[in-house]
Amino acid sequence: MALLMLPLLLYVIFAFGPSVATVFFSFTNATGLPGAEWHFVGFKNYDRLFNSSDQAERFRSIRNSLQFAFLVVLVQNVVGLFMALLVNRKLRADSFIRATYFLPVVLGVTVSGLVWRMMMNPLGGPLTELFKKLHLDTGFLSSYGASFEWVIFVQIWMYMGYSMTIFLAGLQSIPKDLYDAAYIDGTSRWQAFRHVTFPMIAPSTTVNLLLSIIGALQTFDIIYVLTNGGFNTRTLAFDIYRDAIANNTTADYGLASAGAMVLFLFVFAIALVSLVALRRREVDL
Amino acid sequence: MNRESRWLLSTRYLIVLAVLIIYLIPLFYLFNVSMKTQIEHLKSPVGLFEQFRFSNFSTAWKQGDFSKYIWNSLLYTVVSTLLSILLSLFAAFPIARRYVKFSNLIYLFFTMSLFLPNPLVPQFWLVNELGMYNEQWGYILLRTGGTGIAFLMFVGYIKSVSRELDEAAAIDGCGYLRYIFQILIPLVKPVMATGVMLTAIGVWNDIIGPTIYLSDNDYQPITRGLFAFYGQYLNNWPLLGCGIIIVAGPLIVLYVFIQRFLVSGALAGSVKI
Amino acid sequence: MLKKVTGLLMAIVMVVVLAACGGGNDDKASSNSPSASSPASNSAEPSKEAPAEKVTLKIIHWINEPVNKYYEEFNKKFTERYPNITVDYQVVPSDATYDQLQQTRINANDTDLLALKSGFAPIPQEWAAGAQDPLWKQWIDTGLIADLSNEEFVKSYNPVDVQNSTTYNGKVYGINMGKVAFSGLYYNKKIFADNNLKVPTTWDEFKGVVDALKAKDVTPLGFAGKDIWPYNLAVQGLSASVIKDQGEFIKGLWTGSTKFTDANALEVLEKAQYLLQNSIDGVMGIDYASLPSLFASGKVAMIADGTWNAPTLKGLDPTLEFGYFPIPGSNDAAQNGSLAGKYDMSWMVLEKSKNKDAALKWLAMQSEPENYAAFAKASGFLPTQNVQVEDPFINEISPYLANFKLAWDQLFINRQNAGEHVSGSSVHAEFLSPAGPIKTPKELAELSQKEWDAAK
Repeated sequence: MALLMLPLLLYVIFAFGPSVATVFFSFTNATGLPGAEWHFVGFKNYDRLFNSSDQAERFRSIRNSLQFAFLVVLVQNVVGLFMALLVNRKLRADSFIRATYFLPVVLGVTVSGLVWRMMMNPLGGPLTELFKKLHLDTGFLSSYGASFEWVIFVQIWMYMGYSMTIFLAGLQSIPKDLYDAAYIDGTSRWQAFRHVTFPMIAPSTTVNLLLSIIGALQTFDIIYVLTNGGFNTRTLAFDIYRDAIANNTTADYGLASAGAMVLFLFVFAIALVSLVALRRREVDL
Repeated sequence: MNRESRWLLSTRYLIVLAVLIIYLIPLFYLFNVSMKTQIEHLKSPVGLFEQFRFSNFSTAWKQGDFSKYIWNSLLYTVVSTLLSILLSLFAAFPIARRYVKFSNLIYLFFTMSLFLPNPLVPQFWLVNELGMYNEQWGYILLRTGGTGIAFLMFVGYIKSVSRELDEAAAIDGCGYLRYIFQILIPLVKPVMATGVMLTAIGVWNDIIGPTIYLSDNDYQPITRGLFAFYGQYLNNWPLLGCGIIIVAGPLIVLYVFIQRFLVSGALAGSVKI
Repeated sequence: MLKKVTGLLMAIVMVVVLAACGGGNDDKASSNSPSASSPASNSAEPSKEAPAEKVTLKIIHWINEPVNKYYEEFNKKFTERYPNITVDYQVVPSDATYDQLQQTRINANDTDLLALKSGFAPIPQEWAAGAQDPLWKQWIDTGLIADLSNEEFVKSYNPVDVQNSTTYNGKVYGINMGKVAFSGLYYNKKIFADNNLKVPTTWDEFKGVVDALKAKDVTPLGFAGKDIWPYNLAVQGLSASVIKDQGEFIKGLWTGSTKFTDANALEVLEKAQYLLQNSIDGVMGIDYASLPSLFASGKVAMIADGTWNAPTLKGLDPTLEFGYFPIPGSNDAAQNGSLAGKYDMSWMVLEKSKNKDAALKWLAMQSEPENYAAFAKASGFLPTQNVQVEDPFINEISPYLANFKLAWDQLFINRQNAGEHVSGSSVHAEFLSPAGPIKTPKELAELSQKEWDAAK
């Protein structure tokens, strides 16, 4: 049992400890400047977050985070479930098809992101050429209006297969005779889904939704690769990274930590509400 | 169940294929570009390549210095994936079996990592204080943990494995470590495969971590190399295409081997949070 | 190994302490923390091992191919002269990637020499009280940068340039490698000749050129909009020729006597919008790295870029004939006649560098006239040493350099946490349609002024 101490220790030192220490940093004016004096400043960082000349951007980051989480979670899971239902039954080359849907997860953010940047390149990218032919907007990742939606698109493209796989696992655990019984009763396909499939995969749905909500709110690597935060694509999670490391002024540890705390409150509240709602639904079904 | 009409079947095929195309086109396009010469690409960016030019790969390999980066990536990925999986197992087994006090509490404590505040700032500070900044072992240590997705999957799965084996082993006087390695690991193979895959993907593709914690060019992993390569060779798409494929290659190979475990692994992972 | 273990144990203790602080015990923490855990006190420890014979000199720089090639050669020569010094010369893309590398390296005291993207600008002013200090000033003020005032090699440079570029509080903290101009447009000489076009010297002539090109179905302009700053170079060009005294204007913004909504500031935005309207489709998606090939391919007649990129253009296609002219923002040819720019990169030595000696040797060797001349030739910079560089491109633009002036981003002092429409150091015309979401220059100007007033 002493072996349990090892993971526990690592976790406390590198994940849990720093997470808790974020609270502490968020009340200081610490910066990335070595040797600079620092002290406690109360709620000043929180005030700076929401009460500065750039507050419009900060609020947009929050809105973006929520929009990102909502759309990604919704579309990724609805499409994932739908595709899981489709490929759960016998198909030619079904293992190839499933593998391909999952492939972007394997390729990872950098590769997937760069491939889509090539696809959407204004100078000869195939998607650009196609959209030009169709007289559609070709701003893609560099339009103030649409780039965030394109980031969301790439994110969903990447992780749909992941959701699908989890749903598929849920579907395959449903005993076949449940359906047979339902069909003998003369239930329709939709009713069978509604009353047999859906309740049976409820646990996978809960896990899937919860993980993707939390994950989506904290995602920023895809933004880093696709737009590096330009063109109104910053989210709360990206702002933390930007304030902490990647701004062209001195790294602002206090501000970044305050941002991390705000994001945490969002994640915590949303995850809690969803968990309670999902669990209640599981019981109801 | 078996009464799927012809019409329904063809719709099903149609949708599956349509989605498949959205997944295959970018990948095919990538391959297409990588087989062209630069002039060929400039003349007709979306046209088909004229012939296979695998020599593009060796050019990209050399110009992108990928031989240097790939060893780093392999080192980071292999070591921290193996350690993480082992630690996850060490953590998951006693918790799943409730062999330790406060199992539930510890479990909750570990799952908290999913939504705790982003530890970036204190972590960066800590890494500097410990002299782990720009050290390969430091980065590996950072990427190693026993509380990620693999841990959740192990706990879920081990709960479904019968306890009788434990008791038999205890009677045999089988040591704890020996029990884990000889009996438990073969039992949890599908989950372990999935866990390895997901953890390896995470480490291999990590782009933010190396940017922050490793500064030496010699320590950069292959994704970082690719990103710099991308910035540098934006004019030369065929080389870029090759670079991207080179980076994606090793994981695809791993994926081919592990893919068959994926669904059963995911099943275990989705048991309960 | 032992050291690492002790370090780890210390970390655990610290985490526990920090965690306790996080628990809400704030007063306790503030009493002991400044000394206990100020980020620098430990990380700035002198090197772990005693300095061995062999040292590795760490230099960070950004991607600029001709200059990078020059330095690879130079570093080889340097190692030949000092065999015990190996040079670790790292380059990354010049965008935020480099800013970030600077941050983390300085933070971890993990470089000996670093390249600053410009000279020391903007110079802090009394009238700009409460402004955020520029990075270089923060670094100098916290004692991170070595004072080079007494180094012999500083004397190789023109005293005026040393004074204007890298002197602060009477001390020299860096070596500036040269000036660049960036308020102009590169034009494709062949396209101009084919269409019987002359280099425009007034705004009306410029509009004539644009119209003539459009009539022949040639796309007049290309910008690297994805990275935004390259497009802003053109905006700075407009500003330099429209606003007669930019320094006064900026001071006025602080004191309240001028506003972003003033007629001349609006004129800059209107003309900036005109540039966007006449540029290639998808202009905001073009990366800076692909701009040279766009220009060399002849798809656009003019691009906005700095004089530093002339060697890259030449290297891309030696047969490409191109020229460079200041953007004629006004209708007064005399006002348009000179280029604006900045002191480009400066080398700085880190005060706490483990290899300060080696760094100084490196700078000294770089400052030797023949090495400097080779650098100037490779970089396309206007020299800050008294050397003659025979470069046809520089010779051609020399008439525009007689009254060289500093561009907006070298003069503008920003307020802290300013909103995105006034953030950083440029005029953000990229928010104007068709590139951005704001329809008219007036709306953008009003928004900028509002955010400026709101910034503290």
